[in-house]
Amino acid sequence: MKPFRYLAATGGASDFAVLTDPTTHVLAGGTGLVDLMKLGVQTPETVLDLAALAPIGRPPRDEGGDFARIADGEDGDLFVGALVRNSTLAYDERVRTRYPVLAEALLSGASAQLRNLATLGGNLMQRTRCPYFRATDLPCNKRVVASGCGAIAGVHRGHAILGTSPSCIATHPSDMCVALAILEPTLVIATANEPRTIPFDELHLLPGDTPHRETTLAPGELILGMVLPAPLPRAKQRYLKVRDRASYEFALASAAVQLVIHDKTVIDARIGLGGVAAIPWRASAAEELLEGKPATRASFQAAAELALAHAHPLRDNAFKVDLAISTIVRALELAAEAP
Amino acid sequence: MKFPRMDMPVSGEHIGAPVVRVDARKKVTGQADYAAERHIPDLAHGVVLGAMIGAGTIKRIDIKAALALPGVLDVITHENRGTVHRAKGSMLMGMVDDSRGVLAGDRVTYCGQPVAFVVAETFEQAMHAATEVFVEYEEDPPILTAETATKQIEPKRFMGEKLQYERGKTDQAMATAAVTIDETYETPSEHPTPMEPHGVIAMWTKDELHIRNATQWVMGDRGVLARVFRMWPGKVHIHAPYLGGMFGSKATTGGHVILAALAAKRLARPVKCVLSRQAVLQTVGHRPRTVQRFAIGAAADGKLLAMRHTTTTHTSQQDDYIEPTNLTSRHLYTVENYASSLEVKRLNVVMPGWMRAPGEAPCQYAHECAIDELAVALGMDPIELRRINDGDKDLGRDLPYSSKHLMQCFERGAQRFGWERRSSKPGTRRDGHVLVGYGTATATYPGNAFGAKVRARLERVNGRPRAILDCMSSDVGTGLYTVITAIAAETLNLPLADIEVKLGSTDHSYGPVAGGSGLTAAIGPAVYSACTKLAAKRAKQELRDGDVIKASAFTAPVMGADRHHTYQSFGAVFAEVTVDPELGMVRVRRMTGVYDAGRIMNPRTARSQLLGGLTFGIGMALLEELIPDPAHGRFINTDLAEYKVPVHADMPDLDVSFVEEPDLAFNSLGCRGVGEIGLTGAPAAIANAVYNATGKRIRDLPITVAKVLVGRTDTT
Repeated sequence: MKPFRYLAATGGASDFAVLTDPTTHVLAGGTGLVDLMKLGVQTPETVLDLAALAPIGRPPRDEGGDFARIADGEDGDLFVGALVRNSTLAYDERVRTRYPVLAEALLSGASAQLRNLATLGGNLMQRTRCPYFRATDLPCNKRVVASGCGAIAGVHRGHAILGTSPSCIATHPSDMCVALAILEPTLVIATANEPRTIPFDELHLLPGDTPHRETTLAPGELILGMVLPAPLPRAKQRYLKVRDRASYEFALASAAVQLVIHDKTVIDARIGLGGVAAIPWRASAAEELLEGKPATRASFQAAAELALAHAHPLRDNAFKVDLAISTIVRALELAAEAP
Repeated sequence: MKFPRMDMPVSGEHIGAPVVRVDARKKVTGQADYAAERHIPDLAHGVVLGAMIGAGTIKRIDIKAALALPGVLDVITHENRGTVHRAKGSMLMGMVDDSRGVLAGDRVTYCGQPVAFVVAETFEQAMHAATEVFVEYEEDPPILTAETATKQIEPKRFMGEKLQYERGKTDQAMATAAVTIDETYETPSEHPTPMEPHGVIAMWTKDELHIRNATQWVMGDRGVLARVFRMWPGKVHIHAPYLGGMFGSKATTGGHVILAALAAKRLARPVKCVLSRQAVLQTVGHRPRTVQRFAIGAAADGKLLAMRHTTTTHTSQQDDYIEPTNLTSRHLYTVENYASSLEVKRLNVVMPGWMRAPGEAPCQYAHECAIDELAVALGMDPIELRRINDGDKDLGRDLPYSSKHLMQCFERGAQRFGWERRSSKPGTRRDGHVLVGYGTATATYPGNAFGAKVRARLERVNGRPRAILDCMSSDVGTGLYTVITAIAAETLNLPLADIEVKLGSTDHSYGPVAGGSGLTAAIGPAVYSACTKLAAKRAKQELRDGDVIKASAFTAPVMGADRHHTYQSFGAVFAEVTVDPELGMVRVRRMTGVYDAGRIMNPRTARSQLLGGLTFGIGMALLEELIPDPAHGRFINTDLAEYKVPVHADMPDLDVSFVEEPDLAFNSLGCRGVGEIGLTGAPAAIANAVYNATGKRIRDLPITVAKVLVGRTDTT
C-alpha cells in the first residue's frame, strides 16, 4: 500500500477544501477503498475518513448528523443518510415494508460482516469487480487511461452485455443500486456551497470512451444521502439474483422489479437489471411494452426479450442474454404472484 | 465382538470415542501458536515480487528506488543473490516448486515467478517498496493450454506404480462388448488455498537455522533448506506446532521460505514472510487441469469387459509434477482387460502441487460419471452395476484387498438416503421451479501409512503420573493431537489431561509428512505400541516422584499395498440436487456418505474430516476453477470472493456414517485414514444427480449456471 495522509472528517468547511483535491479519497465503511488500496488500484495522497461523522456502534438514528440518519420526510418520503450501514438500511422496518426490493437487494449482497460496515454512499460509488481493473499488472482503461481492455480478448464470462463500449465491458457490481434504479430516489449532494440534488439515474456514467469517469460527481462533492419517494400504492416488488454460489457472490444476472396490477392488467411496471450492465440498468422500453398488457408469462417474456434486444454479448458471456431474460421473467412472475 | 483380535478394551473409554479436540480451547481462544503469528523482537518483513509475464527474460531490474524508501532493508534479486545451491525436489528429501532454485537467473517461465524479495521494517513498507522495483522483460509468447503445448512427458511410474499400463486385450474385449460408452471429462485447475496463508519466520543463531513455517512436512523443509544452504540437516530446525489447513499445499517448500531464510542470513535478524491471498493462489501449486477419456465396454448383463482410461494434464516447464489420475481406475471394479495412459504437457505455469486426493479426486469424478453413463446405457440401476462388478481382488496388483466393504456402504447409504425414491427417468421430477435429481458414486482412497517413530515417557510429579509423547509430524487441523492423546490415555490408563503430546518439530522423534491420509495409521499404532511398553515397564517397577520411564516404537511405511494385500478405503456417496432449468442454478439439497475406513479412532474428528471432504466435493463439482488470463497466464480470480469455495449457504444437510470394520492386517489398531476419501466420489455423485435431474450430461467441472444454460443460448 502506498503511504498516504489520513484525515478525520470534521463535518466542517475544511473537509470540502480537502475534497476538492482529486487525490483525496473518501473513506466510509472501507470495504471497497481499503481493498483497492491494498491492491495498489487506488493510490490516494489523502484519505478523508468520514467515520467520525457516524461512529460504528452508535444508534444511527440518534447520533451523528444527516449523514447517518434514516428519517421520515414529507409526503411519505424517506431520507437515508450516506453513512447509513447496509445492514441498518436493510433491517429498517420502513424499508422492509415500503421498499422490500431494496431490503432484498441489500441482503443478497456481500456478507453480514461486510454489510455491517458498508454504507449507502460507498455502495453508490462502488467500483467494478472486473479482475482486470483490480490487477495493476493487467491492462484496464478504467484504471489507467488508454491502457487497453484486457477483458475483451481475455476472460469475460462475468462481464456486461448492456451499456458496454469498445473501451470497457465491466459490470456495475452493486445489488442495492439495481433496486434504487427502479425506486428512483433523489440524491442529495453536499458541496462547499449549497447542497444540490440529482435524480439517481443521473449519477452513473456509461463507459463510452472514458470508462475512468464513472459518476457525475465533481471534485469537492460528497453524497449526503438520498430521498426515496413514497411507494406507489399496491406496488409489488421483488429482487432476484442469480449466481453459482448460494451466497457471497456478485450477480451473474439480477432483476429488481415492481408491478402494479389491476384487473389482471399491468398498470405500472419497473424493471432494473444488475450483473449484466455497465451501470445500474433500467429497462424502460420493456416497461412501456408491459404497461396495459395482461400480467401473464407471455407478456413478461415479450418485455424481457425487448429489454435484451440491444445486448452486445462476447465469446464467453453470451449465456447472459438468455439468463437475463429468464431472470426478468421469473422476477416478474414472483412479484405478480405475491399477495 | 466388534474387534475380536484386539488385545485392548473392546469398547474403549477414549479410543473410538468422540473425544473433544484437546486443542479446541487453545484454538478458539487464540492461544494456538500458528507458525507466522509470533511476534519476535527485531523482526523484519519480506514480500515476494512475482513476474508479471508468462515467459521471457529479465533484461533489467532496478532496485534503487525501492532501496531508497523508508524502512527498506534489502532487495534481493537474481543479480545480487550470490551463489545459488539447487535442491531438486524429492519425495524423500523435501519438495520444491522450482528445481532451478529461487531467484536463480534471468529466465522467467511462469507468471508470478519470484523476481525480487523486498525486506523492510514493516510489512506495509515492504509491500509498497515491492511496487517500486522496476523490472524490464523481453517477453516470449507463453504456452498456457495443453492443446497448444509442444513439449510433454509420458512418465513411467509414480511412487513405484506404472502410469502407462495395460493388462489383457483391451481392444479385442471392447469390440465384443454389447454396450460401450466413450466419453471425455474435464476438471479445471483448482487451488487448495487453505484459510491460513503460507507463512514463515526464519532466524539464525550462529550457524543454525530456525524456521517457524506453516508446513505439513517439517522434514521436507529441513531437507530442502539444508541442501540450499549447504548445511548439516541437524542444524536446521523446523517448527510447525499448528496449521490452519493445507490440503496438500504445504508439503512443498515454497520459494518464500528459502527467501526468508536467505534474507535473515543477510540481515542477521529474523525475517517473516506471509503470502497474500493473491500470492497463494497465483504462486502456490494448483491441482492441474485434467482431460480424461473413459471408454468402457460391458456385456448386456452389466459385467465389465474392457476399460480404457487416458489422461492429459500439465506441469511446469522444468519440473515433473504428476497428477496420478489412473492408479485407481485399474482396480476399483473387476475388469480383466484394462489400459491406461497419462501424458503431461509442459506449460508456462508454476509447478502444480498436491491438492486433497491428488489423482484420486479427478479420477473418481470421471470414472464414476462414466460408470453412471454406462448404467444409463445398460438401463440398469447404477448401484446394481457396481455390485455386479465388485470384487475382493485388486487386479492391478494381483492382490486381495485386506478389507473391502464397498457394497455394505452402498446398502446402508441407499437406505439412509432413500435411493428407492429416485426416478430412473431423468428430468421428470419437479418441485416448483426446480428439477430434482439423485446421484451416487463410489468413493475410494488408498490405505497409506508413511512410517513413524514415537517417543513416550512416563513420569510422576507430586504423586501424579503423566505421559509425554513426541513426533515430528504436524497436526494440520485434523485432530492428530487428540487421537494420540486418546490412544495414550487409554493404553496407560491415565486421564486425558495427564497426556502431553508434542508435534510439528524436527526436534522430535521421526514423523512423516502429514499427507496421503496416512498419519493416524502411521503414528497411532506406534503410540499404542510405545505406551503398551511403558505400561508393561510400569507394572514391573513402582513409579515414584522424579522417576522417568521411557519407551519408543516405530511403524514401517506401507503405501497402499504390501506383498500380501492391497489396503484401500471405500465409500458410497449420495447426493440430491435441484436444478433450475431456466436460471441454471444448481444447489445440493442433501448428501449421504457411508465410509469403510477401518476402525474409526475418533468419530467426532473423523466425521468432521468427512463433512469437510463432502463440502470440498461440492466446491469441486459446482464452484472451483482457477482461471488464467490468456495473455500471461496470470490467474484472474486470486481472492476468496472470486475463487469460489462453498460458503455456509451452499452446505446442505450432510449425513456421514461408517461401516466400521477394523483392518487388522493393515495395523494393530485396524485404522485407515479419512483425510481425503471424503472428497473422492462427491463430485461425481453431484454430477450424476444433475444428470438425473435434467437429462443433460455436463462433462466438465465446475457445473455452472453458464454450462447448464448452454444449448438454450447461441454461443459463438
